[in-house]
Amino acid sequence: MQKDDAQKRVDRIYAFRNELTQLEEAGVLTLGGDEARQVQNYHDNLLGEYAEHFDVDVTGVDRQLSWGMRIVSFLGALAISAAIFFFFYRFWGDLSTSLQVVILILAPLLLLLATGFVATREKTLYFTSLLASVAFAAFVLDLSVLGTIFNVTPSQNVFLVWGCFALLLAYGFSLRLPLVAGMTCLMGYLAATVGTWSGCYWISFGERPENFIVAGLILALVPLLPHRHHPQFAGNYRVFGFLAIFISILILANYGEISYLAWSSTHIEYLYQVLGFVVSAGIIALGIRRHWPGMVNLGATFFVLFLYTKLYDWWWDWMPKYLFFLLLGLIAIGLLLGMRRLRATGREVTA
Amino acid sequence: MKNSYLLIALVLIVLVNGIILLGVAGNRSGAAEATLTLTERELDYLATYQKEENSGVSLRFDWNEYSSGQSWLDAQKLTDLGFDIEAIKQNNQDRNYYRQLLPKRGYVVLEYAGEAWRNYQVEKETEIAELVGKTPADEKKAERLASQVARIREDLLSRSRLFAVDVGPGPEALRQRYPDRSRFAIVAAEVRASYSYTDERKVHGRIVQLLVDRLHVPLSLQKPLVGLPPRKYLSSYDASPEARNWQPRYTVTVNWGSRFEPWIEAVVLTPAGEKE
Repeated sequence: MQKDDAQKRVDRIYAFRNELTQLEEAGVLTLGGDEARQVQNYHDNLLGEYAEHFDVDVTGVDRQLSWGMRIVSFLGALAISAAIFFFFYRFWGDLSTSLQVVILILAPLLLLLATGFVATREKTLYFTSLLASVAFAAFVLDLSVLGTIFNVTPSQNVFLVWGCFALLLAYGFSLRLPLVAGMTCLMGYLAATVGTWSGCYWISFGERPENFIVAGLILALVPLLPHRHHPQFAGNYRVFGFLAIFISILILANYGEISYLAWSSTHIEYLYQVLGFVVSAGIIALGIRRHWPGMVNLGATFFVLFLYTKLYDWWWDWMPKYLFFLLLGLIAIGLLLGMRRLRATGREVTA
Repeated sequence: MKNSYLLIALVLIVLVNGIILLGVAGNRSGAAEATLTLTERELDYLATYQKEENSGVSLRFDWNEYSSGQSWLDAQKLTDLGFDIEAIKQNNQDRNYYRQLLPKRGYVVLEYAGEAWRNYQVEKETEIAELVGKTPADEKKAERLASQVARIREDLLSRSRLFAVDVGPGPEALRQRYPDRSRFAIVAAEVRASYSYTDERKVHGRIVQLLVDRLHVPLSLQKPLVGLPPRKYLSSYDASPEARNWQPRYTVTVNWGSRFEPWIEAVVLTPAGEKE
């Protein structure tokens, strides 16, 4: 069992307790003395076990503090990583080449070992997450500066290496921050590699958003691989992959000149505008069917974005501005009513 | 953490660094592919930029981009690099399409103080002679003429003598055409195709950037550069003897290895640099 599973169970236990209290007050159901004690003892033991093994949030205050600690851990990782970068750049010019190389290689090695050591000492993994992020930053510094010292020609393979390292941290310690770093690096590598298939130099991979559509699709399909020990990562891959796809489609829907397609830019923009609506609607439907709330939210957000950009194209130049925003607001209300009806239909089907 | 993940991560760090260092050693082993002794005109000292936060010392290649986009980088050379010239010519797209054509990686031949530089000198001297031969109508025009002449003279005095003279998909064929390793360096570069609206359907290229355009100066070679004041870029209005007689302050011996990646062999102050 992972921490997320334990937390969900704890939440269900408290939800059950609250609902049982409500039912007792309403006179609908009252558990007998023995039964109530059995259930209470069972749940208390379970909560104690989970608190000890997984350090789950038992109260609302715990949950808020946990979020706070995650944010602090993230900001702390950013700050320490920046400190390492600037510290090294400030003093590296005064070091011999051999010493520079030794420091660059030792830093990520030692930080990785420190991360492993700290992980065995804490259940919460906040400090582990911080150290893992700093180890990743040190590895990025390592390869970047080695390239600078020895005047090495840049290559997209460095993104693959960084991505693999970050994913090893993510899967080894069950950490989300290195997972995001790993997905970002792999996205860069995949997009650059896709770009080279058309014969262009890899550094210009950002000039063709279609590179990111392919890369995003590959990442979104990663959950098809078994994730028995990290089921919580599947949602991250899907959301990250489709985020890249949607952003690319949004750009191409407004700027067709940078597409690979050899059509007029107007036709390319029309194509991607239609694709944007179709894909976002499809993602909403898929998210509802598979109970993936992250995907539903993502699809809904970009559906509205595509709609608003289209309306802007049609109306902004000639329509009075008050009327333009009024219509946007009315459309938003219409969408809300539509989604409410969809939710009600979903409940009827479930019932 | 599962021990297997930790072990793999440790091995990854060691392995990748090892591969990079082996590649560097391989590049620098054996005889140098090319060796040029350049000056401050061709290698700009960058250490003064945000020195407090970055103590590293770098020199930036300053090659004479006047020659990029010239007639020698024509449709045939672009085809050799992999550009589909016919597709570009036949495509009835708007200007933005041609601005967005993707670049290719190629190898550029840089010539140092050779025929390209001599041709450039002759061209500029001819320009000076034509300007000097003009009779200005008034004082303002005379000032403008003098300023133009001063700018061209400054250009000849301080501009880089490193010119791009050829480009190709592979370095070996280029080295066969330019065998003098003390005058021609072959470097990796990014090349773009451009479309000229003045010449109907004419496609030509330009070298966008050298892939390695900065050289790190190791600690053992930094001494001549430390404490050197920033380079004074000559103003066209500066007619002082110092401006008219500017000389580069250092020379740098640069080697290129088997992977066509450069490194600095030596840095020596010139008499002008020792004065400062």
